[in-house]
Amino acid sequence: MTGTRFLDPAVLARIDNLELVARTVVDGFISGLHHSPYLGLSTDFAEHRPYVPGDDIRRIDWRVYGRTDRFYVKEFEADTNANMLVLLDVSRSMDYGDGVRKLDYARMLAASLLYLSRRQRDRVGLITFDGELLDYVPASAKHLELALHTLEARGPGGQGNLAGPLRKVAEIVRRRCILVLVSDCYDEPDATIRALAALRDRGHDVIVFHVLDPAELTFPFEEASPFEDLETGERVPVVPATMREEYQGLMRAHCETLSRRLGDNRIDYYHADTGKPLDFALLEYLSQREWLARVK
Amino acid sequence: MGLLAPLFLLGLAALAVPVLLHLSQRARRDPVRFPSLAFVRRVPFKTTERRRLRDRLLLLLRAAALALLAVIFARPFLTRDVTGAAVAAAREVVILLDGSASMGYGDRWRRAREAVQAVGGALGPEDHATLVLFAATPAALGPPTGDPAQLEGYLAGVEPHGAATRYAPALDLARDLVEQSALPRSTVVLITDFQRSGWDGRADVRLPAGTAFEPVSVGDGEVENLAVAGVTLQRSPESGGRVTVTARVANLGTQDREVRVRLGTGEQVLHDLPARVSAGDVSVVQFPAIALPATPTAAWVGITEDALAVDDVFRFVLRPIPSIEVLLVEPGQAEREMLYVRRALAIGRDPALAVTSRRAPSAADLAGADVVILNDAAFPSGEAGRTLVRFIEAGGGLLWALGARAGSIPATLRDQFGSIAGQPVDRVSARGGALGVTDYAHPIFSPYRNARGGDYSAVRIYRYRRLTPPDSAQVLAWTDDGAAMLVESRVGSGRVLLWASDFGNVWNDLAVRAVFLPTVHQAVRYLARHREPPSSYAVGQAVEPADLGGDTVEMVLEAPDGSRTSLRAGPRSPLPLDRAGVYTLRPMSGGAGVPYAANLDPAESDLAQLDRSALVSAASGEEAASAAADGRLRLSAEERERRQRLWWYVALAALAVLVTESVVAGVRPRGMGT
Repeated sequence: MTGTRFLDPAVLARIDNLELVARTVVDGFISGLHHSPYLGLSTDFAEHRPYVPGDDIRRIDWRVYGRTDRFYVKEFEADTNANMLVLLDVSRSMDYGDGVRKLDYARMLAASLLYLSRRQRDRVGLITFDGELLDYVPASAKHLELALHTLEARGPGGQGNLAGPLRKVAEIVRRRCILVLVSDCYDEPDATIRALAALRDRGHDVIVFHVLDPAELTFPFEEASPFEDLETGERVPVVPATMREEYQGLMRAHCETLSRRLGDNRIDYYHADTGKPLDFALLEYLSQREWLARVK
Repeated sequence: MGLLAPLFLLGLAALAVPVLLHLSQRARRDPVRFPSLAFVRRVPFKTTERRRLRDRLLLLLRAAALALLAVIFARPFLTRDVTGAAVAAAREVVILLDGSASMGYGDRWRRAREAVQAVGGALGPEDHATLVLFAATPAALGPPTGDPAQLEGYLAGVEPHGAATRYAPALDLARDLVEQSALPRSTVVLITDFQRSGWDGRADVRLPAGTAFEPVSVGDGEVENLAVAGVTLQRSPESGGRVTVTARVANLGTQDREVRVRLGTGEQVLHDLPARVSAGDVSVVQFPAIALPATPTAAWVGITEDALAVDDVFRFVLRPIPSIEVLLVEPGQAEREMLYVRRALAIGRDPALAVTSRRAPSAADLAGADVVILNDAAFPSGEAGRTLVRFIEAGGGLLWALGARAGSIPATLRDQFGSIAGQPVDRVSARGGALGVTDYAHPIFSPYRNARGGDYSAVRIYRYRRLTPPDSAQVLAWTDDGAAMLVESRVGSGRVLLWASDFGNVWNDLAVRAVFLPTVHQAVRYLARHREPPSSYAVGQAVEPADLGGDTVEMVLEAPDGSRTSLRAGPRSPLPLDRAGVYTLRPMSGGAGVPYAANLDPAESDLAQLDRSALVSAASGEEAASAAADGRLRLSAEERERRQRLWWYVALAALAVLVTESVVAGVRPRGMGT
């Protein structure tokens, strides 16, 4: 059995402990990267250790050499200046999924991101919301467990709305943060982008994970049935075969609009497919982040 | 409103299928919960309300079409009574009037005539009616008519006659008339007393579909009837010929009866005896023997006349005992071997066998003979032989036993008689061969045609001549080794029987077997072409041409009602006797006549009623309607349906519904159907 097997969202969803899930995902993911050169970079000193051949001689602490006549290299702690805040949409529309619910996937994704950030010594926090803010765990180096616990405890909420909660986030989060929005983004793109752009304008680094179930993209239903809106409870008789293509086109256009316009506002947009392993999303995220960092 | 095939309404259950399907689908299909219908709503489609309206309309239209189809197949009709005059379409009416003897009981005939008048009165202006009088056979009394007066005129002079009732031929004729009719409607009216003996329930008398069948009963419930069911004649040659008449008197009622039974000829009553007949029983009355007349004479046995007079007298013909002249040719000294045939011929009493024995027949001997028997004798030679051949060719009969002294078959006769090959075949070492009869239906063996009859296989054949019959001959008996034993040949108009052995209990033991005497008698009768007309006929039977005397003279037949039918000289057809009484056949030129007696079929005397529903069901396929003797015709369900043709209108409505459905469905957007 391989580690990838454990990254299957459907399998991870059976694990109740989100910390365990996050560790499984992140450790498995990192072990697959094989000493990624992008990890562990920091300017904060942590400790000295004896020089071993192969170490970068630029990392030799000459002061220690001057005092002890021995070569020591400096070990640096991860950068702890960054605040990483996950904004998790727990509206009713997230309570959907054939194999794994979007909410479960989003929670696992959020936990993984929190865990990963914490491994990089970031301060991590969590905000959950539907139409309103529900939970707020401020970013802190000690709030990983609290954030994970909050994630575990939080079930699906009510009718969702993005713009309103994001405006409140802008109000309560004063320090610059890396804001990771995990949502299905069922809101008007204009309002969503305006709210996210406002956060970006406040200096936050905003990342959007657009979580969608495959069925939301492909609309694979066959039988004519009444469809019920999870958030509003409204029912509409639908003949899927007659509208599948149009729906797919609308959904595709929606995603493209979000991706394009968020990019225009220097907001990272990632599509998280609940049918794919979590490390797909993580890899895409980290790759783009590094690529973007180099560009910057 | 009625339905001819209501079971088709079960098809209406199909209407529930889409509804049940819909309900089951609805019950089974929970709403699909979806995160957001924002994009679903953006897809343009008809509003839910409009679709529902459309769906319901289509559902209603399709359900209506299905329902109408089911109604069409159920063949609806209006159940209200329709009189014949009220129905516009022309009608073919066949009136089957029972003219059998039983209709003469009480006032049945009068009521039957009234029923015919009632049917005639109910005829519409375009209707045609055919009046058929039937008993054993049916016959139309006239061409179809719509005139009630003409219909009644057909009945003038018509009375029940002595024939038995047979419903099947009458209904067959009615079916033919209906099928040949060009009129759109048809009705068969059966006016009868529903006599049980007239219907055995096996005949296929189903009338064409849509034909109304109206039974009209004129029979009574309980009837009393005494009848002379038949007589048996026992002739004996003593005292110049006497006959003992035994009569059977049947009581077909429900009460025991005392009755006087009389035997007479012409107007003269010869004997008058009392008899007691229990209900439902038959009494046998034997009269003292009377002298046989010198010529055929009509006689009768009668009882006191009751409500059905035709069966109270049984008529028959007394004939003198006939005689067959037999010329027995024997080869002289062998008395013991000749004994068996001689004694067998001596026993014949009815017909009497007048045997003349000769060693060598002369032409004079042959002149008066009917049959010649060559009992182990050689075929006469010379003029006697030629005379014998001419005798046979003229219609005489020859029985030739080819024993040890029979010699050979003359060469001139071998083409007709066959030939004898070599020496006699000896089967003594094998304890004799068995005799096998080819055809028990042959008149010679007819006394034993039934099972458990005489057993010819017990006859042992020890020696026989190897007889080779001509191709035209018929082998009547074989030995078990395949040799022909009894061969029949036709020579001119005569018959020749060759027996390949003897009758002397030497070459075989046939002479000491029980079958010998009847066989010899039957052979003599067959060779002599002996035939005596029966003493009486049943009405409906026919006199065979052979019983009508010679065909060289023009004859006249006088019926019991005095009518005369001339019979031209020449070959004649069987002469049917269609009424009870005494017929007389006499030469046209005058002279003594020969009587023939015809009597009512004994079954006709039984006035027991038939379960009419069985007959009605067989004819029309439905239960009996109530009698319609009041002249108001009740139409069968099939007839009503056929006349009203409601299904046409229903079909048009279904077509309209389907067209509407097509239009409504056509204006709907494709792919939006449910």
